[in-house]
Amino acid sequence: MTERETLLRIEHLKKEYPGVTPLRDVNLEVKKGDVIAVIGPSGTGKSTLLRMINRMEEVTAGKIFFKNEEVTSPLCQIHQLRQKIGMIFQSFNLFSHLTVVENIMAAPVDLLGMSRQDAYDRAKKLLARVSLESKAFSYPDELSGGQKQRIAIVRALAMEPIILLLDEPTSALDPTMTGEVETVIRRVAEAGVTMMLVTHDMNLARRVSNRVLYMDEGGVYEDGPPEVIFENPAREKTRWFVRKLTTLDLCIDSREFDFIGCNTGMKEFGLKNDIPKGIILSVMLLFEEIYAQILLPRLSPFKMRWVVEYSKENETATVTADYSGEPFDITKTGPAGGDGSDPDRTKELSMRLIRGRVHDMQWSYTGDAELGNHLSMTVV
Amino acid sequence: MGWKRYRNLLFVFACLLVFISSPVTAKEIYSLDDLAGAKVGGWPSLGEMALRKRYPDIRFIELETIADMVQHVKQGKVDACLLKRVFYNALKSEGVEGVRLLPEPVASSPTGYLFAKTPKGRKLADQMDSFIRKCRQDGTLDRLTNKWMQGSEEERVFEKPVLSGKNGRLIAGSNAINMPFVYLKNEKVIGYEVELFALFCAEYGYDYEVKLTSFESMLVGVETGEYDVGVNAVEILKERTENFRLSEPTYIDDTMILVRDYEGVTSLITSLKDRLVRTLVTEDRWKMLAGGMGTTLLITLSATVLGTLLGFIFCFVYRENYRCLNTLIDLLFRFLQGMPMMVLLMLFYYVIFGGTKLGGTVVAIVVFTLTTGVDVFGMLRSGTASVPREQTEAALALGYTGRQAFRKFILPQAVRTFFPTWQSTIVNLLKFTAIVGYITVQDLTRMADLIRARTYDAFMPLIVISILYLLLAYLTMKLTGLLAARLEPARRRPEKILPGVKL
Repeated sequence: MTERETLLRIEHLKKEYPGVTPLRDVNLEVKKGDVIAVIGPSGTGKSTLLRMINRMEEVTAGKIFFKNEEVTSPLCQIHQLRQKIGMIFQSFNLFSHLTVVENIMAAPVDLLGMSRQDAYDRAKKLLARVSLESKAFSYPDELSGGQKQRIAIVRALAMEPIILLLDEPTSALDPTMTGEVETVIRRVAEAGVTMMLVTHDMNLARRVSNRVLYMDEGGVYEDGPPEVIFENPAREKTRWFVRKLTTLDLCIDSREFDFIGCNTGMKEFGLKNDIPKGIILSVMLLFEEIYAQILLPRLSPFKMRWVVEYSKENETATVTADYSGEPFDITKTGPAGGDGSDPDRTKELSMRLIRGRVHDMQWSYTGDAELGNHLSMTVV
Repeated sequence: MGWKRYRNLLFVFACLLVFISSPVTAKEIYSLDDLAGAKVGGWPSLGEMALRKRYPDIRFIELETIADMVQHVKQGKVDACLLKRVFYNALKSEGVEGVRLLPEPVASSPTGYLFAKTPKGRKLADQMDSFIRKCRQDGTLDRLTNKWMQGSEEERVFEKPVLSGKNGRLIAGSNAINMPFVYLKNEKVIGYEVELFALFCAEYGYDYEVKLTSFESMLVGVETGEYDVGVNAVEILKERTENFRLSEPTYIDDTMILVRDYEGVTSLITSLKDRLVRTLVTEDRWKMLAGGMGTTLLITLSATVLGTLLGFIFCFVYRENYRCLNTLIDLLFRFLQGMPMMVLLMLFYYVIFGGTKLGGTVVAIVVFTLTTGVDVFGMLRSGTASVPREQTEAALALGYTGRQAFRKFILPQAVRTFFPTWQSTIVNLLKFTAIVGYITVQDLTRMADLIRARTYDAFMPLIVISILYLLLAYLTMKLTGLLAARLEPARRRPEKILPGVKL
């Protein structure tokens, strides 16, 4: 493999805001052809890092070199460098008073000195590539979010950038529209444009990138190919973060908790992980039966932990419920450990519903734990 | 639609008509003794002092023009007015009805020219005094009195003598609404005092020019040296001699009491038609109105163009963030926004440009340009602030400089939000120009005042100019609206978006 050209070199980069220091020491090299997904928890300076590369954000300390030119130098003609560094924003930021085609033509004509005809022809060609030729004379207000973002990408590409920075390009979009934008991003990446992509959408990160940066503790915490980062991360915080992506963990520690909020949480979890609708509906049903019908009337004080883990390979969700109180095996008829005299008909009905949706239902009890009852099941 | 549109206008008009024809009940006055406790209007004068002495409990209301006095008396807003006999004769010869004089005079009031108490003023006044004495002796005053005071309007022909001007030009200030002393006819200032003054100028080798202003501004102007002399039939009052040098009297007249005459009023319609004719047709007065409208438009248009330009310049300069310039703009902003328009006009005319020869119109344009400038600046500032920061970011990320981004992307978007406010600012500007009469500018309102002074008809000129102002405001809205259509990008026709590009 031949050594690829280094486009971007970041040395000891630091960003300090009054009160917080999201980035303490960032060191990074970006090579030509890299398609980097920057992931990590909120507040770890992913967007800040991206925005410092083209100095949309001022640098507190450290150096950034773009093709051997120091971006962070006070002598740097930053607006000239920015012509070669495309940027895509979360909120699209199309110029609302101009038509789509004018949005695309403006910079090549004004900054590259391209003739209006050439700029127009290029805009048309690029629009065709994102299947939005027909919208050339529309105003941004008339477009959907997904269309706007595709135009924004075309606008950046019209400058023929050496590197493209994408700052959460799908976060402001309806889930139904992320697909069209993702397709465009993937196609641009396949065309060989170097990219840096900050995103919360792990599917997007996994599908588009060939390199993933996990940001934490004020810098690049782990750097590797997507298979490694997502399947088998080397460091603990990365593992934790990646596991949390496919795991929903709800702690219910009082009787007056937000039931609807939990349902919404499960729905969102499903959407985020592309879990088939049927599975998520089953999980929600389990939750309602186990929590509301069986445990809530019987346990006092009430405490429960509800964990859903989804496995993409097997397309199954593993649900575990840990709850407080005396040993109570809900799979057995009659309240185990109680007097057992009065079989509860409501509970029987619930159990029948539950058994229809799961297999592998197991109960165990650990005496010394706070949540001693441990129930696990698999939803297919 | 058509009817509904004009319904409101018609309603206002109807109200006005009812208002004209329904006088307020007033105290009826048949002799001087009825004046005890009455409301009396007029100029502060010898007559006023005499009257106050005799009837300490009268209420005095200052009225500047004779037209106002006639109107106040007719409508019963005052019970009586102080008026000199010659003025009464003049208004009777204009066919004014519904007022009459009480037979007894209140006082005898001399009038003359007004000079400043400066060396120059004193010198001129001395020359004037000896000239008046000479004219009294050689019968010139009698001849002029016969012609201007007793003759009919046809006989009142101003014979302007030949003026050499070898000793310079005198600037005279006057409100020119004191027929027959000094008044406007066919757009020329003429009258008893004007002819006498012209003769004086001929005798002493001067040339002269009369500047039209209000009485109050005339007083200030003479004091500050703006005018060399006040030709305004100024009454020779003792307290005036403290600040001014007054000439020998040129005329001594009786101050009379004008009261309402309950007999002999012609029908409303005939009188309306007659009044309209006198307001517009007689002596080609429509030309005065047209000229006034031209001046109003000139000031409005100039201030609109220059002021808007200035606002944009302020905006660009402000963005460069030079500390002292920004402080300066901020100060100017506060100063101009916190000042009544009239005070500003007077300040600029008499103080800031007091020493220069700049005319009132130019000063008015300067003042309105400045106020419009700061208004536009304010609008642009809030307009640009309302454009999301991300728009700037997007432009910067493409490689535009801050200045380019502002000009190409932020400003056009700000202008969209700014437009409606700008439009109403321009209409307001048009309306504000109505006060430029205070600094001798002869705009539409001022012309109406002059016509009112000649016809003694307070209403018709007002109605005529209110219609004209409405028209102008409507036109302004329409014209600026057209501009809006050009500026609003989303309203461009598709073929205009990319001219010269083969699609």
